[in-house]
Amino acid sequence: MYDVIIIGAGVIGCAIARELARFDLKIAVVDRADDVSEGASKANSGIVHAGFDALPGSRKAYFNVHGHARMQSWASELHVPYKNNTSLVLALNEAEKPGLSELLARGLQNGVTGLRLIDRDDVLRREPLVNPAVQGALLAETAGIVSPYHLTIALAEHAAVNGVDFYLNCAVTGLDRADTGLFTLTTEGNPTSNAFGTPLQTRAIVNAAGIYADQINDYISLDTFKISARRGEYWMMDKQIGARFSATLFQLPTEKGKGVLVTPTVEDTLIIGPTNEAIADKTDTRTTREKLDEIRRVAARTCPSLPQDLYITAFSGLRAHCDRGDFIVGRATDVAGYYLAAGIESPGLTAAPAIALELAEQIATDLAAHHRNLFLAPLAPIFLGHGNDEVNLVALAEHIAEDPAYGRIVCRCEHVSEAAIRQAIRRPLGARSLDAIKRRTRANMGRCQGGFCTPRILEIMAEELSVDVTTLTKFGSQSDLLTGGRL
Amino acid sequence: MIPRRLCDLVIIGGGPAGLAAALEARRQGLQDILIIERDQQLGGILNQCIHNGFGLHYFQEELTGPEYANRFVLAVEKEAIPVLLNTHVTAISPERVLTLVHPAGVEQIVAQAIILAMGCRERPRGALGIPGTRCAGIYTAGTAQRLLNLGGLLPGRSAVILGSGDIGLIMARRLKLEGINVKAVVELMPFSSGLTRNVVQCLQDFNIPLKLSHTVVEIHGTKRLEAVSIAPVSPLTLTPDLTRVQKIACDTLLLSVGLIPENELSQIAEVVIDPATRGPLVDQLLHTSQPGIFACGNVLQVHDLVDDVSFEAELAARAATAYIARQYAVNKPILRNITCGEGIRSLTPQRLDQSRLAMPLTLNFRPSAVYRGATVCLKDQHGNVIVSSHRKILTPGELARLTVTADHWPPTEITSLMLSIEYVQVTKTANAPLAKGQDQGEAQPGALKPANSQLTTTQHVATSATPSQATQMTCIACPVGCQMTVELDAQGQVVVTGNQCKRGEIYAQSEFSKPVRTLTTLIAVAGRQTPLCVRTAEPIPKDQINSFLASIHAAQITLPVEIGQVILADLGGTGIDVIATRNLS
Repeated sequence: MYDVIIIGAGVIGCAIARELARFDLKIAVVDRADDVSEGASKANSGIVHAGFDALPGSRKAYFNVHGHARMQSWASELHVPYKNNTSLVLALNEAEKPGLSELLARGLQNGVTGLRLIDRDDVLRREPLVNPAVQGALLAETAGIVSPYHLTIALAEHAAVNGVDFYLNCAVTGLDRADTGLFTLTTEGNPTSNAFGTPLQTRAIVNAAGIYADQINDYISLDTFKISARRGEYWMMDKQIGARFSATLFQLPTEKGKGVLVTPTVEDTLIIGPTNEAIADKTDTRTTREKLDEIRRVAARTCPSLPQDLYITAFSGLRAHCDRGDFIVGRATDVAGYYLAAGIESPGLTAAPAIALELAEQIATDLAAHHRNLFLAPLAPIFLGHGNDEVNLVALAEHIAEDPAYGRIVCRCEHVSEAAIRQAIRRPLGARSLDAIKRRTRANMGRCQGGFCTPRILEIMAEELSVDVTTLTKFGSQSDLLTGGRL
Repeated sequence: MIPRRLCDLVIIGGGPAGLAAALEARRQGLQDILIIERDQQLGGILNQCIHNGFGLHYFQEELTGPEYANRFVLAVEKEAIPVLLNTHVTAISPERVLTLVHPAGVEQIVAQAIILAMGCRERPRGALGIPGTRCAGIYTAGTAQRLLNLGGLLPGRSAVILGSGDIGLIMARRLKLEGINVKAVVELMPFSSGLTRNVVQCLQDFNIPLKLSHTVVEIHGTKRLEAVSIAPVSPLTLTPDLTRVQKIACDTLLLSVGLIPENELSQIAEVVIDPATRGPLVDQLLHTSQPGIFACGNVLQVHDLVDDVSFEAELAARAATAYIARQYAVNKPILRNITCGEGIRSLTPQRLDQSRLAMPLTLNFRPSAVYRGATVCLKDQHGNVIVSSHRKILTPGELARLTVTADHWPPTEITSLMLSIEYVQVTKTANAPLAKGQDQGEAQPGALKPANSQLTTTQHVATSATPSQATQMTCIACPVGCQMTVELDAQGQVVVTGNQCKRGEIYAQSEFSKPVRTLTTLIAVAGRQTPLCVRTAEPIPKDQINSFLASIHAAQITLPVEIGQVILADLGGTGIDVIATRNLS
């Protein structure tokens, strides 16, 4: 019996779980995937939006600005890579310049600080690779970038160390509310809950189910809405080129969204994208030839000289677009004990802290919960030992003295040690798949994309998890890596 | 404080290049040498290359990768050259301070000279941007090779291979020999970029179709790969014709789509990289743009044959040894650029040290297309030919060479050089018409014409043929790959046509009357993750490969096993033994 069950282990669900964990409540998070952050939270631009884009008065604008205000301190507390790298909305011809002023005005109305128009020379001084045809830009000094999956994983870990239960590989197949006000979840797929033999019960339920939030809502609420999946495809480029950018570069937004951006990531790679395409099948995270070509074509407007040989990979994410056109956050209108964080598309990542704080407070108030006396701090991050200056090298040497596995580099491209990979598996909510290792350590994410390190990582996983290597997967059930078995 | 020590020569990489360099430096009398290797054993990529075909030039005998490596490893052990295993170099400063991380800690080494021998890596899927899902079951050929040959793990049950470079071809045969259904090898270009020998012995021998001028256009499967879509491409623009897409069901896709010299470390040392080779810019002594830093092997340019890597490494070692002995101080380099002209995709060395014209200069170059009957010319800044050489065939799949000796150089000053391909006669078709059913896409002028499965089928029949039947075969004696017809005349004599030289005739006669192959495979060892790799001590009759394979796989292994040890004596009454090609304890 839980006080609160959160459906969805994306950045929103995990942030709510972490904030609720401050209270004397028994909490669980359920998700259909084998890891947290497996949906839109792992495949987005990673932008901490300043807040000038959302319509004034909208929930998006409110949570964007308030989420933004918290992001830097959250990232630092959770040891998540974050950079205040600023952003530029570019006017690439004279005709686009009035658009910048409109955005500026909207931003001021939303309460965004640090916004100003800059001229062509200033743009090119800041970002020498920008199209020289640029006529000016809207500079947002407060904009930033964050690693979205690191943030989600860190929030989940912090929730877990403070007693939140996570049921992964656990798809919700039904949700009932009894007259007593108790909710009962039927699920499939999670061996843990099946072992208990009892369905999950809870006093309050939070719908943070991303693209599936409408289906969950339909189980218990008559106040319906529709979530459609909007696919965004991206290219990722090598650090060699990422290191030559600092700000996030937007083109002037259109009615279809913020358009194709070019941005460095906190890990110094460069991403270009996304596209924006309505997709009927909510599992269809394919990339397509047309869209990948389109991104390169459109990004060339921002930066005509992107090299052709530094592409590392392409990926796509599905954004949860709500037919109401805005975030749905708060108490359900018709069911007591039911809370929503639905339709969280861009700027959802930025908004996550504010959404979590607001919902946690509502739920704690409604359940008459109190703050715990003991709230444990976030875990220290996995020690990666990067950096070639004296301080970093001495720290690395100290770690190796403790555990020689820190001195065995498994992933050569991203310098990830055997110890870091073992840590990724041993931590709370530890990695159980190759992709989960990748998100926690960056092994497999570099320029060789796992070509060299995959065999060794699989060996370490088999050892740590005491399983046969042929049972290991890329991202959970049925994504088996070695279907041919052994010789 | 990070501990710091001095060393005369540090060699980064314990693969074939690094090992050969270390041994040559020792032969030159250098005492203070250190080999740094990131893996847990020496030998580099050779350890996973259990197939034969190594050593024909260096040792004048045919070895497997582990055997080739073992000879160098034993010599390094005999010379007691210090080796750091499991060691990762995280940085090199232009002043030649190396930062090392290993299980014993972090240290820095100040080197008199450094030889870069880090090898290369494979291009991943993302670099190609093949659209589709991101499911499990997509590996580079090298990753699959490591999983299989060193881990005894089969990546899947049915496979398509994209790219017909040598690793792709070799892996097609490896998978097939271990029971995986290889559906096709798909090649973007109108010719294979691998050795003709490998096209014949890895694909044709096993009826594996080679789809030239095709590419993978989409990857299907939500969790594990379910199929790939392939489409023909225009040989000129290389763009796929999406109206002619064909779906091939498979659970594994292997990528063999190019190798990239691994120079991230070189770039930290501010070594100038040539965009054409993606390796360091070097002079004829393999000296990079940074004083005291030399480069050899696949980090310098991707080689086809390990033998050439060993020779190149020895040159780098001699130069580095001379550098350490301060010979450079009295003889300052005078560098002149050697540039790629018409028809040349890349070359090394890219610079000529004019103060050293007395030593022979060997230019290694890769042509940008297939050229037949062409002349390679090295010219000076005035367009005067310094040396030229006629070639029957030049293909991007094989690194070619041009040697300039001291007497070639003109007495006048050279300020720049250019290598180009001239007097080209592009043949409209290959030597023989295409076989029926050959899946060639649109034929490309000058393209190599490896035969397809149809041809191989004919070959199988022909080995036990009636006298009147003619057999088609592709000659593997050289890159020309002549399409030959072999038949018996009325007197029962073997008649070969279509060959351009005597070597073709000899090959065709033996391939016609008694085709033989060296068989390499793996034997699972109970309780051990690493399987034992073995080969037949001599080539065995080709048509008996399958029947022998079963008895080899069934062999019981008692550890320890030493390299060269007989695992199975007198295979099927042939008098030929099966021997271990690796030590396994």
